[in-house]
Amino acid sequence: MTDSSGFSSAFSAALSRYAPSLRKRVADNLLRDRSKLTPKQTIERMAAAVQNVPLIDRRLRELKPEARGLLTLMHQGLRFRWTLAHALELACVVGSENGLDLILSLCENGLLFAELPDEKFVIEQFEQWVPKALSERTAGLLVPPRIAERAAGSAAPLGLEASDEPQGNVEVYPPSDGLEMPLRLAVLWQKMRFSPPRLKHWGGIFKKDREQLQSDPLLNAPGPTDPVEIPNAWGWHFVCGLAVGLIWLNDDTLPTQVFSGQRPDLLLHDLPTVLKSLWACNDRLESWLANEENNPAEIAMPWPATAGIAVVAALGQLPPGQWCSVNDLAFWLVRRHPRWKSDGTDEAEEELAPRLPRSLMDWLELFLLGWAYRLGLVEAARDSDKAWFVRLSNVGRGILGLGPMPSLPHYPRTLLVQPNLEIIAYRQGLTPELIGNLSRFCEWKSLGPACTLQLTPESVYRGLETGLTHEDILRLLQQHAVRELPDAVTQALRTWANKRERITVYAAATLLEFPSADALQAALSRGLPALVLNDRLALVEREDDLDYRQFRLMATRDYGLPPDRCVQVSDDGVTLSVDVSRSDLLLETELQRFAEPVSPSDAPFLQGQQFGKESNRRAYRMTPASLRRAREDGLNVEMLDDWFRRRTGSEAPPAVRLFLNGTAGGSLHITTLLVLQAPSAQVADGLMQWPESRRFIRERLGPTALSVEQADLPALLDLLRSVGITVQ
Amino acid sequence: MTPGVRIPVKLHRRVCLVLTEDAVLAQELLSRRRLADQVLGRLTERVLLIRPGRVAAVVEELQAMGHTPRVVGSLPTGSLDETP
Repeated sequence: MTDSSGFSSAFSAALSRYAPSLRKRVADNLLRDRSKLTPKQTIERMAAAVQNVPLIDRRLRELKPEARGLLTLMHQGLRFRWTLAHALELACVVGSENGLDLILSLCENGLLFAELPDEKFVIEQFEQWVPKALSERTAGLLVPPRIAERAAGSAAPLGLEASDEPQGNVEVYPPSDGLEMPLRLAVLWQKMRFSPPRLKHWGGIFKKDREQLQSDPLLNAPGPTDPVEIPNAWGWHFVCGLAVGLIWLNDDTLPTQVFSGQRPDLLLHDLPTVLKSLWACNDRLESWLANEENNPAEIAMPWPATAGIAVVAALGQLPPGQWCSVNDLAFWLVRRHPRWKSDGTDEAEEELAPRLPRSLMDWLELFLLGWAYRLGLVEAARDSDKAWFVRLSNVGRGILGLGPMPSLPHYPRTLLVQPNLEIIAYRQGLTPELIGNLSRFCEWKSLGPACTLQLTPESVYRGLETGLTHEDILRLLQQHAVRELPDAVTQALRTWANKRERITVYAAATLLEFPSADALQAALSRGLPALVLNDRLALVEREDDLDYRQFRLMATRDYGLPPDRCVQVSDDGVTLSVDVSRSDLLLETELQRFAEPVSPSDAPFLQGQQFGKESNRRAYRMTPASLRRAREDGLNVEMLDDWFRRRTGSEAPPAVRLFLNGTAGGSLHITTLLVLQAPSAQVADGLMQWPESRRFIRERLGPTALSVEQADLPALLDLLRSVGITVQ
Repeated sequence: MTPGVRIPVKLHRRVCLVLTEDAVLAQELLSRRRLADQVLGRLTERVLLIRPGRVAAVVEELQAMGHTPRVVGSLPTGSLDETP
């Protein structure tokens, strides 16, 4: 059973949802040990018990044949997690009259485990869990892989009888090499990297993106030996890609986007592992095709995942090499599978034949001659009456655990690398791992008995970005090439690799800023693994490489956070004092646009703590020249205001506005005024308030100083004298 | 520096940078308007400081210019949609 890696955690989580009384009852049935155990001990003992082969075998011997048959089918489905609905269908296939009782009995005996993701819900009785498991897609059953594996050794007969061998002029199709799906998945992985489709919120793909996928020749073209045409094959590859983690959906974006992993990880395994992973995706096709948008008119039917498992398992019970007609399999299914089984389906074949649903035959042919054939599970033949026959292949027997996996031919030298940068990959020597590695730096051009790939600057660049080196690419090609690599190819690879070194983008680098060039040199002499940027700055690619015992951290700035307010404006309005311990590199470059550094001797106000041997404050001064330069570079008052608010907490000082804007449309005037000096502010207020005197006053210059026009002076003096005020 | 004495240093974390092979190339990049918009400043003649969160846009623009930059560190998915 594949994907057993997550079983342990799922198993513990499932048991934690059991009420203590239920957990104890199940543990008693499984362990038959009446010792008093704490809840934690119970879970640990049960976890050990589902791995204990002698104990498992004893419990399995006590089961009805149908129960062992159900566990066997689960084993052959290569999954440990099942929905209750699927388990019920499989129970019906193995001949159980009451599938629910069978499943609940396996749960009571600790051979199946009920799973419920709702943390608030505690399972007191399994009957109480059933409605939730039938209504919630996330609730289901866990079958311990070891139990399913042991049950497979004593499976009950599924009742499929060997039909007559194909007669007449029989066309036997060459067995699939199992590479058809890995090749298409490699193409899918590449395509998702260049132009990922967008998904609507209910799961359908945007029409334009869907049309692109539908018209893609590589994703949809038939395989060289495919017995039948597969409508909208891209959908299979898309679902499988999602199921096996080759591509994934990013729900954080709107619309949801599809992303490709950095490497096609699934493909970097041997063929049996890849085929098992793909076979386990069978149920994902069911949920994908349940969405009408994804179910094209050519298929127009559901994808009964359990029927597929049942059919393949039934074929596995025939003698090795025995053919079975697809028609007989259809009869067997309508009598066994609850989707088609009804009162009349037990009739003789002659009476049943006219009532066989066309959709069942269509699906069976697509499933067996498309999906199962491409995975290499079955071999196909057609007799002179155009009737289809299938049989389980040796690879299929290996995948289902019915026999050893056949050893596959090994042809390491299978690539013909041509001077025009085209690569011909002979299929006999391809493996999923080679397909995956080639996909990282070559573009697939055609798929067939001999596949073609193209080396381009972009493809090689993308390969280098996935972590391959120039040497890795050369080594891989040399290792698999049938003859020496042409000079043109090695030259092109070197040129493209060198070109990539011209520009390096650091998405999140760590920089070390030293107080002096000497300090930087000292750090380098102590083995600092850094790239020197200038006399005080060094770049470290991985912060983990830093030996912090060598350094005293004076300050740390994280550029993922908003910038700090680390600048003060002095009283003169043009000198800026920077707190070095809080400043960042952005600040230095920002300041250079509109201010000039001031040496410490020119900035006597700079006092403070020490940063190494340097002051921890630096000074900059804004001058008419520096601000003129800034204005010519496109900086305006609004932008400076924004900068001052972020860095100082207030707007740009008036002096800066003066330098930048001048008098902003107005002009300065020089004029001669008489100043009337009042003895107190109250007297000045009175003169400003009394309308008779107010008309002679030009403006108030200060609390006690008023300006008067020369021409108005005699009239003002007369007025003041009239109220008894004398002017000296 | 006295051996054994810890060296004072200021640490700058998660800095977005473009490092070019030579100064002329850095100048060429700065002359591209859409790229210059993402550049906060020139740290040295070969090093350009990029606005935080805009690395993906910079890489895309560099590729549009025909360059094949080496990207160190993973680009955040969906980063093109980040506000500047």
